[in-house]
Amino acid sequence: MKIGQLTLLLTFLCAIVNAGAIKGKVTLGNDSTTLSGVSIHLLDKKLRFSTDENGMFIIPNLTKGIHTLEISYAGFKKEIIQEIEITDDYSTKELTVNLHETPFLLGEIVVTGTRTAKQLADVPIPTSVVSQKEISARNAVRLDDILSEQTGLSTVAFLGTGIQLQGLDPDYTLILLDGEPIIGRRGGTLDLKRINVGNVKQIEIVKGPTSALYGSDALAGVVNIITERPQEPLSGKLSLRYGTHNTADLSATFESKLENLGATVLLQRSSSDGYDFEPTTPSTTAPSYTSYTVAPNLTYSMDSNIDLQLSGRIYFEEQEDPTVELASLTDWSLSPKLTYRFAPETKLMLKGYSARYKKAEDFYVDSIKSFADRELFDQTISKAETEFTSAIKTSFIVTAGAGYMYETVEADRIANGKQDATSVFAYAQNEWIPCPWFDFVASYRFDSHSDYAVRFSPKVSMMLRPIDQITIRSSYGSGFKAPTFQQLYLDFTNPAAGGYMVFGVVGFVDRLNREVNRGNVVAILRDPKSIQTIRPEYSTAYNVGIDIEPIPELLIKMNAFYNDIEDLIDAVAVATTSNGSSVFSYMNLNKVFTRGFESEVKYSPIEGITLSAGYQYLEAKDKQVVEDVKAGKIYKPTPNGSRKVKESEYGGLLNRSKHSGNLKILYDYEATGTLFNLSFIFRDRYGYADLNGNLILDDKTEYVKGYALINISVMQIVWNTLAIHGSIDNLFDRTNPELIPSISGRIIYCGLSYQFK
Amino acid sequence: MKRHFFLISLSLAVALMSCDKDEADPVTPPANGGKLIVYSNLVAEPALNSGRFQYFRLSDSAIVPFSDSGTTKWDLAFSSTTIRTNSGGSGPGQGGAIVLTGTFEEVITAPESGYSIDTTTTKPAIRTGSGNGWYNYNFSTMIVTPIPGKILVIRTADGKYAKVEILNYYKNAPTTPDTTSIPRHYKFKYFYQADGSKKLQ
Repeated sequence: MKIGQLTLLLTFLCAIVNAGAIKGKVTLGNDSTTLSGVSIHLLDKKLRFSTDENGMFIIPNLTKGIHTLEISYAGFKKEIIQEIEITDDYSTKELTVNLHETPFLLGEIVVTGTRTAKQLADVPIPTSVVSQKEISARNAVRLDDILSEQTGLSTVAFLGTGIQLQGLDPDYTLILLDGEPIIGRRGGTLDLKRINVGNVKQIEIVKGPTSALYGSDALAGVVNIITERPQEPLSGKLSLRYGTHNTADLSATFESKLENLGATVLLQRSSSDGYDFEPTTPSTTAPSYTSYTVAPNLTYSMDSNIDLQLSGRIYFEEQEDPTVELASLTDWSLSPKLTYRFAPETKLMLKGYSARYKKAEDFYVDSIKSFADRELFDQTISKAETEFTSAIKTSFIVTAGAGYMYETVEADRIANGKQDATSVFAYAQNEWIPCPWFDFVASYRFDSHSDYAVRFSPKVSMMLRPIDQITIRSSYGSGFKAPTFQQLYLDFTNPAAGGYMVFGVVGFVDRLNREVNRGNVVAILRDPKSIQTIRPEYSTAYNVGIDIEPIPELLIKMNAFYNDIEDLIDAVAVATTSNGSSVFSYMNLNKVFTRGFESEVKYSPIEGITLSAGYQYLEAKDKQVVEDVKAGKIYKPTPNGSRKVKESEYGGLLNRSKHSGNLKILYDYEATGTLFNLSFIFRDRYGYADLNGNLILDDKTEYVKGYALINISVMQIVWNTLAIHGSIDNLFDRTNPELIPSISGRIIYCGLSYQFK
Repeated sequence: MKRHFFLISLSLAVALMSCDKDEADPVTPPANGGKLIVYSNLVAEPALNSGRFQYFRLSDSAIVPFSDSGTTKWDLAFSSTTIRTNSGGSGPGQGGAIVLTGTFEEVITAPESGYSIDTTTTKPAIRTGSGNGWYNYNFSTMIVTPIPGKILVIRTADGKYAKVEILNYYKNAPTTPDTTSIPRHYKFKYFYQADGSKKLQ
């Protein structure tokens, strides 16, 4: 009797629990290895589940009908299973899902392009990812080591090493560290050598303007460096690397995770003797330096709804150019972040960010070693920001944020020695994913700054996958770049070089009047009031791309781009001084465009080997110059007098190669623990200066010859925990001391790394 | 075809220690009462850093001594990148200038009007400063380059007309001057109309 009742009760309970269900198991490839934490998305009911530690999942309470599941996991190709039929309200459907690792990182989760986590294959915005594996295969230590080998990116050496993206100068690419901007640009260049990649999980490169999410500087694109989050109870890595020019890099990373608390830290010391192509001159081509990085990160989960995170980075560098210059640089940032989850798909983030960049340069008079001059540049930024994301429906995700920023700058040539500025911003993004093969994102951002005109930046992008093998992406967006501190606040009279003066736009009229009253001005060339309101430089851009994956081992990517940039800020002479020189300030003047396409082919003939080829075609020109050349208004000299420049002679903006590309072989043989990488990087000739006085690139003497570099690196794991690595950069010892002093010649490195768990 | 002849001028010889080739080279025979001259290595500023000008007469390509600087015997005066005309604050002549854009051949007549004069010695008709008049100065390479396509139409001290194109600012006219090039050595070509008309070809 009792047993009978219990049986009846159990049957009744089971009927409720099991009333229609999908049960399943997710395994790795055709292997029996199961995968836990895989995201299972019931598309028709918009419900999310995940697999347990045995790779199992169950979706209960289903009624009779047809269901669709989307199964996704970082690093794996997403699987969509359609038409799962539950025949009646009580039946359970069982499935086994095999997930396949993508050879080309298409399954990798990226966050930069939309501020929401998405698989690389699904982002509607052209994005590429550099993985930790690629970083270690290259034995890369600094960010420029790895970015210089990416398709469509060229390194530019000017007051540091920067990157050119889609034909735009380094100042037009925003560099983020875990989503926050790194500050400290000199002459527009953010020196990539300052950033160590020892603790980097992946680098995301978003191409095309992204100011609609990130504000200023994101015209050409965004490089976001994502650092490791603690995973293991305790693990760490010690590495050392030594090579040419007495360059030594020592680094240690540790991570620990106990219950709710996690921590990681990167410690790094680097030093180098530098090199000198011209020993007869007092200054060295690349001065010696010593640098230290400490980058800690703490995470704490208060409960399942609240996450706290505190990330920091301190960088210190001392650079010495014997007898000429001693420079010290301190650069730190701190970012606390609180994430509160109202529901699995709804979260609010409160973020703070504070950073400082301080560089002091002491100059000495050649050979006497007596102190001559000190130049100081000290910049700080403080930001408070809130961001809200919610999946109103699974097919409709809203992200919105707002923030306030306070900046200060202290420098010798800045008016009053010190200036500050405030700005506020707000942004919103709507993401519409009606079905797995269509994704549409629209975003808008509004930036208002105390010292320049307001800017509104929109962007729309979409992804379309008509068949599994083809993904089409297209986007239209606007980007902007704020005037620099120099353009706003400079107050400089050159004691040498004819005594010219340069004043920033803020307070320009007052400063010009000051010089008029001093009797230094003899003629006004343009209305000083026209200088008053400067607008940010801005762009509108189109990107259209296609990814074709005919077989899983082959991926062909193509993207065409067009960037139209207006209101470029340039120095203009406003008045003539009594000593025959000029007073300069800044105005929105020029319009340029860059257009071209890039293409990448990746092929993995057998497991462990990846061959890739990348190519970029680029044209970058000043619109006014194009027009003037066409109209026959620009001349070039010949020994017997000037003649008109032909249209075909105009070579566009300086520093741009029409053709550039790379070929790479990566061999990753896990059985023996061998990692081998060979990269061949080339760039076509590019203009470096106007030599014939017409201020444009139009003569073959104005070009630097193209070049190719070959870099090789090998890593071999000897015991489970110890790896030996070596690399040769610039194998054939190519140099061009006069025009490309940043290429030092062949560099040989070797090193050891020890990993423990 | 090229016929060289040296201009011997005492002041110049002293200033240059007699090393330089100073030459006026008539490229084509005089036509319509005018003549085409290419003049090389005119030293602008006879003694270095003296601030003194080098005075020049277009009609016979002659260097005029400093003692005649207050007369109408000169048409153009050179000191580093500054070029004066014999007018206004610079001299008693009827001089003046217009800077036109075009090739030398395109300028076939001197404009009727619009000539600037040297209002004061610091405000010459041919404006000073990079990009304002006849040259560009590159702040990073510190090189002075004539702006290609700038033709200086000059009204001489006695009211005649000429067109001038500056070809080079460095000694012996290097194609791509560098920091080792010696500055303040003008090479220029000019067409001088002796008949007083505005015809410049």
